[in-house]
Amino acid sequence: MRPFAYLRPTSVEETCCMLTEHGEGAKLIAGGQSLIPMLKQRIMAPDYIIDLKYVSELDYIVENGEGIRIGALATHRDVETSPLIRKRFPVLMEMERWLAQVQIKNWGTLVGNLAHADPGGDPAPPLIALGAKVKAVSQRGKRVIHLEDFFEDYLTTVLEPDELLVEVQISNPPDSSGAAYRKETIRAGDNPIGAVAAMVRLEEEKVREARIILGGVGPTPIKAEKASKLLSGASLGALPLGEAARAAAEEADPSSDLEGSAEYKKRIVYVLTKEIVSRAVERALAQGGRSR
Amino acid sequence: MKQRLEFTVNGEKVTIFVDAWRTLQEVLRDELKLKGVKSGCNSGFCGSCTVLIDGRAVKSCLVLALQTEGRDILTIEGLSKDGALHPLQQAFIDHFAIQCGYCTAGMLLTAKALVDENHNPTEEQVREGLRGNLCRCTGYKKIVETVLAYSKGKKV
Amino acid sequence: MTMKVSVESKELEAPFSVVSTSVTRVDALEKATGKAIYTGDIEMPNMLHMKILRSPYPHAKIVNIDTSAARKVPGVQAVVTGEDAPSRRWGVFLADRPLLAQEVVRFVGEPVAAVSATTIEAAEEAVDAIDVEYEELPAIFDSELAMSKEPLVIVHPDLSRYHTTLTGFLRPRLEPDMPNVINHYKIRCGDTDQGFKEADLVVENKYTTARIQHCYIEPPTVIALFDLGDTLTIWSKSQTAWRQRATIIDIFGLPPSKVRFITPYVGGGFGGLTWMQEALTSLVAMQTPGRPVKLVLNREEVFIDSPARIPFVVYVRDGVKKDGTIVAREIKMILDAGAYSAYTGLITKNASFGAVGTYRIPNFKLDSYGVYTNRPPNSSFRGLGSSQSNWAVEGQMDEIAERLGMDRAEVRRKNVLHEGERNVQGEIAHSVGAEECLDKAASLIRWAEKPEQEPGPWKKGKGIALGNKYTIAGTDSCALVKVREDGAVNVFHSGSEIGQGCDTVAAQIAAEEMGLPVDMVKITRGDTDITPYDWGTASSRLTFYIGNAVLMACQDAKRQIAELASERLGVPAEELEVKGNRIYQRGKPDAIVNVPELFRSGGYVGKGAEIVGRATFSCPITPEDMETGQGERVVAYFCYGAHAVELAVNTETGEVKIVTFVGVFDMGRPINPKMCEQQMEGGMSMGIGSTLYEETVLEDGIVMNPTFVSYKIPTIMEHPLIDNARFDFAPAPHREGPFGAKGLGEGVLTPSAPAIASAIHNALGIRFRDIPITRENIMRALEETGLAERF
Repeated sequence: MRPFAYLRPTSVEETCCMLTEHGEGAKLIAGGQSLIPMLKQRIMAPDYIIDLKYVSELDYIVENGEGIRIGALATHRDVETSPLIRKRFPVLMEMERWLAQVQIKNWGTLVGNLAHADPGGDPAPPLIALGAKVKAVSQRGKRVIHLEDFFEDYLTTVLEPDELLVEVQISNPPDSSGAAYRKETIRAGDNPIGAVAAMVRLEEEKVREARIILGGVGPTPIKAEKASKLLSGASLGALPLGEAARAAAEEADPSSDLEGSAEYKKRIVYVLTKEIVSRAVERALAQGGRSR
Repeated sequence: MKQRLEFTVNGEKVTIFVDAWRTLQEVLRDELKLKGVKSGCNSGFCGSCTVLIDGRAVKSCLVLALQTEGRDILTIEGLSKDGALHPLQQAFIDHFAIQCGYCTAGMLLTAKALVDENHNPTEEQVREGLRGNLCRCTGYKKIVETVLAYSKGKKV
Repeated sequence: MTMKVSVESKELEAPFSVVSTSVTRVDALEKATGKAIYTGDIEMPNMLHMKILRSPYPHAKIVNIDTSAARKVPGVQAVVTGEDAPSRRWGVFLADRPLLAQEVVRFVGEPVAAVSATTIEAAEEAVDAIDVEYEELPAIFDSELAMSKEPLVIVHPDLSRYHTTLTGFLRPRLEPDMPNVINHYKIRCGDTDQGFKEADLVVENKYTTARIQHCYIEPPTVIALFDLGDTLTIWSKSQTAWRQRATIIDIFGLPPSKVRFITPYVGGGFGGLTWMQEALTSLVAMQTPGRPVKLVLNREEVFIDSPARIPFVVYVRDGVKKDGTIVAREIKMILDAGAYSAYTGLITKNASFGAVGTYRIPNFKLDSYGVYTNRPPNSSFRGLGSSQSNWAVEGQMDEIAERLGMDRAEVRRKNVLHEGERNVQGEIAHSVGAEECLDKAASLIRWAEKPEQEPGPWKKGKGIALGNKYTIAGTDSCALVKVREDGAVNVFHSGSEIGQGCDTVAAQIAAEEMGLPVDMVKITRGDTDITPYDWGTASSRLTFYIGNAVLMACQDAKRQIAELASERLGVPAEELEVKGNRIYQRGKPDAIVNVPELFRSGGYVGKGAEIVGRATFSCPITPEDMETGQGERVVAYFCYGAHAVELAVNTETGEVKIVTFVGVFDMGRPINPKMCEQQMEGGMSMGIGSTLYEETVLEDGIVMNPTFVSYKIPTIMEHPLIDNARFDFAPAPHREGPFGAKGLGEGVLTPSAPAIASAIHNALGIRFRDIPITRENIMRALEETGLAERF
């Protein structure tokens, strides 16, 4: 790593002050599981590293009437073992299972993963499917951003250099809804060949709303809108799964790389979409108290 | 300018001055001379650098040393007490889970944390838990057998 | 008349006290406590750090190197380029590689300059500051094109002038009209033209294997110290200390008494530690006498410039009778050496043995070529080419079975060699457990039962294959056994403990021969000033060679003990028995002398001063017949084995899941059964990796996947569940092996790829002849054969 100056704030306010002062020359580090490899390869060489690990006020997973808020210092492990999350958003536990190795989960943070904006990142697709929002603060104020609008490009978010991402907000899931997520990889823990998240809301034997989000097949997570539209309004007895899956594959924008060719990745999106949408529907039915 | 770091390593309080860009792995190996913390890939994939931070397995090459202020670090050197092997170390020996030995320290510590948290893991849970530790020698079979045997408290 | 030798299971039980027992590994305690020292753990005062500047081009002239800026970086102690390197080149077979590129670079990643500095950061900064001007030249990447008579590029124009470095029994055959060929090996037996006339069926195919990497977890590490007395000491993660030392002595013209090579514990070898980094580090160390220089290759460098498994192209043509008997076999193998030959010259010959060891074939013709290209160099890898030749030969057996409507195990039984039969190189087969391995493996996987298919996209299949791995003949190993005052012994040997357990094997053999418990045997290993010569930790040879040397050295020690005791007992030495601590006349076990009684004080026994047994074990070899490859003793022996696999293939994604993996091996005698299991389980692991996941992706000579993320060795999740990975023994004792033992460490890999491919064919009806068989390759084949819709 190239040498850098190390800053250790102990409050959000202090952090924002440092960000205002150092701006572009500073990188925030929480778990660092994505950042440190880049520092080692000297892809990044910031002058300042601002360490969030001691801003204890960011270490929380809490609920209010509307939903759950996950603070910036909550580790993947915290998310995976949280009884709150298990009850309300089992898809997030499912996501953590696919995410990575125990060691990464013990130290890396969910919010940090979002801020890093790796297109293969596991949390983004299911969170977007759930309609999650993120909150960013700076000395200029705070703002809440829909996660689906948060990612701009490869490793690029809408965050300004002086902004700190402090939490993810997820509203309670509506009745009769279910969500599912899976990432397909060559080996356990690899970058994705493709990943699909789906949230499905049912009403009277029909799909009221479907949100299908693709991960790892473009520079950012992709809302498969055509695929989602094909499912909206469809009756459970005649779900156009194949058609929707094909539409999702077409909406994917993968590049050929060492995990697979672009064509193969589209095939995986197709296979996964069928599987994930089916699973989301099953969970929605279970949640609605009915059985097939 | 080096900065002060105070933490606990293998049960002993340590105060040391380190450069900010040093990882926990470098500080443990190079400053504290704990060579049992291995350095297989230096990029966070092989897991041979795994140590326990507050009882949880973490890859020490992916942690800045200064992020561990006040934490409790356990390396392989801290496992045996007063010359007596930790039962998991004995199990690794007895069940032939060691060949070249380079993955052993990291593997063992990850396994220890796994069983400390889940006293009766299934084979599937053991495999999931060890996903972050690469081994090229063993094919993992005897490692999994060892961890299962250890968790059941069996002797060979 | 064929003769079967079957090993009855009772032979596995002891008439032995220690051999054939799974004693605790002697290195396990150190490794379980983190106390085992690997080269990278060694620190010394005033140590410098070394970094290498590497070529970005696959073939280019070096026009100019400007190191002035690099020398000015604070902390830099030395900067060397090809101009500072000796003109004498490094090599294993052909000395073709300069320590640093001289005039020309021949592959992307070739070392061009090296720096030593007081910190790693300073060394890295200095490397970045070296300015090299290149003039690009055309490059050649295809081994078949490179071996033509007029290739576009001649990689080594001076090839005919290179000297050879190995002993006389291994002479490369250059082909003057194929300027990129480094060796051409031939086997001729019978008359293949006639044989094909008699055949009812001809099966002809091309097989290929990818370039794969060892991926040992410990990175290559070297420390070199050229001290103020001009002695060069090297600590290195190595498998061939003595021969590397010899090469360094040759390259630098150093007095042999002043070169010392020490090998600590090795964190995984797999044949990959036979490279030139020790020589290069020594060159840098010589610039700063008195200061040790440490080189640690980062993982990316390991993927680029540590020797990889040679990619093979193998053409096989078989003539077969309709009852399954092979009457003729013709093989052409083309080995891509990359830019420098290292072991490829030897492997060009020795890989052929993979096609020799298992089957009885009356008419056989083989031509094997090692060829230069401008790709990163390849060299020794667990199996020394036998995995690749077995891949082709066993693939043929599978297809022959299919075409004749025969059972795949049966076609192998039809042709497998038996004890006493002659193989295609003229050797009489001895210690051939192949058929029993096959039978046992078939039984363990319940071969007769078809796999149960389930609804859905997963299709199951079962496969089976044989494999073999020779051990090289014509090499030597020495051992010393020193007897201590309490009767314990100290064994000295120069094998590398790479995880295979050579120290434990040596200890068990010594314990058995001396009549001692294993914990009274101490092992001292890996220091050329102290431990005697060994050819190298390669070719699965240590149990046989070092084992025999230890055995003979113990016998020598016992002779000396008997002579000393003979005076005391008044009995001629020949009538005395030496067992553990006790020496007595045969038939009169009550009147004894203890070993401690032979000593006066402090290890001194009076006459002879100390009791030091010594021995050299050599295995004879027939001088090579350059035209036919025939000989009475071409190899030391073959290890045999069988793999049987049940797997499932997802016809929507191409993913392969290994459900059950079974292996049975003939290692002559398992000195330590659990350690043999360790090898078999490890062979399964590398087999799964090399068949389904691993390949170096090269584009224009550049390694595109030089990380553990992008180069995919299997994680724990890619292996079958523990109850579904089953291994067993079918040992056929070898008359020359220590207690009948042979080697095992490489043989365990050789049947894996063909067994997996056989299972995939069984599941899908699709034959794959190129490894790795990736999921995308499978998907493409499913689409092409109409078994899956195109996407």
